[in-house]
Amino acid sequence: MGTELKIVAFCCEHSGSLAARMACAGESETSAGTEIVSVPCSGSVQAADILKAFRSGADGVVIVGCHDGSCKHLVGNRRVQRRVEHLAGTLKEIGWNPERVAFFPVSAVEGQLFRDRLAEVVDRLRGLEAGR
Amino acid sequence: MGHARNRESDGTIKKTSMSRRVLVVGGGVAGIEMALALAELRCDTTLVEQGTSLGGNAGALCSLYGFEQTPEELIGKKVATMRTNPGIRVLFEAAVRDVKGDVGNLHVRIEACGKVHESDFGAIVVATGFDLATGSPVTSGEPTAISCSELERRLAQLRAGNGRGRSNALSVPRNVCFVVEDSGVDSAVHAASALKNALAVQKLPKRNVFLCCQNVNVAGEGLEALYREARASGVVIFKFDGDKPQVAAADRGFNVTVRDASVAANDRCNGLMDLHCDLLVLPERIVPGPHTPYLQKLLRVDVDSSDYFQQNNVWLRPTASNRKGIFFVGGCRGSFDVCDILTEARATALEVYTWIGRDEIPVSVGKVRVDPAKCAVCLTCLRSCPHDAVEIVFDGDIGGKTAHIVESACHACGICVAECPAKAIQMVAADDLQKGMAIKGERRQVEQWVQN
Repeated sequence: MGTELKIVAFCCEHSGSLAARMACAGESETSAGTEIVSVPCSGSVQAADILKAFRSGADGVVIVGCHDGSCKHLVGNRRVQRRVEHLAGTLKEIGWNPERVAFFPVSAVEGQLFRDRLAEVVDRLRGLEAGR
Repeated sequence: MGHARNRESDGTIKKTSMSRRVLVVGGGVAGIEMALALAELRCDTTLVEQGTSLGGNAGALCSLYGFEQTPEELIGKKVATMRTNPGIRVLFEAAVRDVKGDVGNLHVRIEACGKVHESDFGAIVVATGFDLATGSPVTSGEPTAISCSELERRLAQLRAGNGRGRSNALSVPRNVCFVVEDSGVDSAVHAASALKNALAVQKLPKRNVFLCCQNVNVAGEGLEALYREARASGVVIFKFDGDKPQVAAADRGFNVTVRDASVAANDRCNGLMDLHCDLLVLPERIVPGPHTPYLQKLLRVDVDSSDYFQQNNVWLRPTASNRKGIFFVGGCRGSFDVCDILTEARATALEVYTWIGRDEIPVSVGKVRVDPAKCAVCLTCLRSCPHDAVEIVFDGDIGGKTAHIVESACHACGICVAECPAKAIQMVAADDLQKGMAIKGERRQVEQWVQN
């Protein structure tokens, strides 16, 4: 692919961020074009943060939180999922593809899962870019 | 590799005074052990018991599996130690009526014997235990099935009367059948109680004991050995699958029809067994304590999907709650045996001590700030905070009410910041500039990625 896609990943510092570090260890190409933003809890990511990431040129935004029942702050992962669903709806209304924003859960030791899920998102976005 | 952000250094540090006194709610085996362990750590402890005696569920049993001592001896010895300890105060016929404040400074109103006590505590340990629900009687009228507790009482009487006499033969007759239905995941205590009592009856002279169960849960220390011992000494165990045993009242007893799954599978027969028994024993179900909803509301803590204390969350296991300074021990968290509860109480005492063991703890202030001018007191933050760190206070500057973050209770997760519709709450550490601290590839980059 010619141009590299820019992905901003908001990662919970208890899970996503550690998994990202694990996924990135030794292989810098995997995460090329992906910016990892560590947040205290995935539940602290606001719709405004996601929109700001798009404004700064991101092609896609992912929020990486904890699995259900593993959120340090108990409900953060569920809250942000609702927020993401709502924002996806808004994006659709303004004519954007709602798949540009996504949430996926990983645990702190699932570096490979993080890489796989991120690759899925990138593939989906490539598809979007090609179809445009 | 360190964290991208070091949150401990965010904001400024303030010393907050901590009360070293602990309130233990519930005078069962968990509460007693908890009070003793805390007293050893030189934390003054107040134990609140709803009834007039200590011991709880375990105290009502006549024997404990895995202990040489009887529950009476075990608990009696602990209670005697408690009595001699000036650091432990026990309030009987008491109930917690009101709780205000947060970790280190919890202001509690307790009603005991009609008198009201108000005091400050550093932490609260809930040890209210589980409750036993008697299963619905299988047959109406005489004869009726009895519960495991009733059987234990009869066995205790037998022991006291040295096992002689006609009345004894009537209280625990010759053929005894246990039917353990609905053995869920939490049934290790359930199974232990049925096995222990089955074995006790089998050991009486000339007794036949049958145990019908779906699954013998031996997930506990020594339970496998107990199961083997029961089988070896002659307890006949039938395992049913799906179809429950049919029980019908018969002449002087019951007819129990049970389909043994393994017999049905091996012998190409239907596996149906007809048993006649003189006494039917149905172990009680273990259910959350009756005061759980009341305390849940009062302490503003969460319960799990089965209505026991403590939300299903790996971060809270084993005994923490969603609020700092409030802990759950023992049967109020589910069905646990005495052995586990004693260990857990000791461990929890140390955890409580790490919070309140010092007179003062450093608390970082200003991590999360509310702008009173923007706050509409919509209570969204109050509802969304998972740690109950938001309170509504009167602000003199704006002459009205505003949300306020209690620093000692706050975990700085930023959920309220994200939820606040008026954007009145700001997180100093995680504002847009700080969010720019990113890790990219192998290198950690600190850059301002959002160009406002």
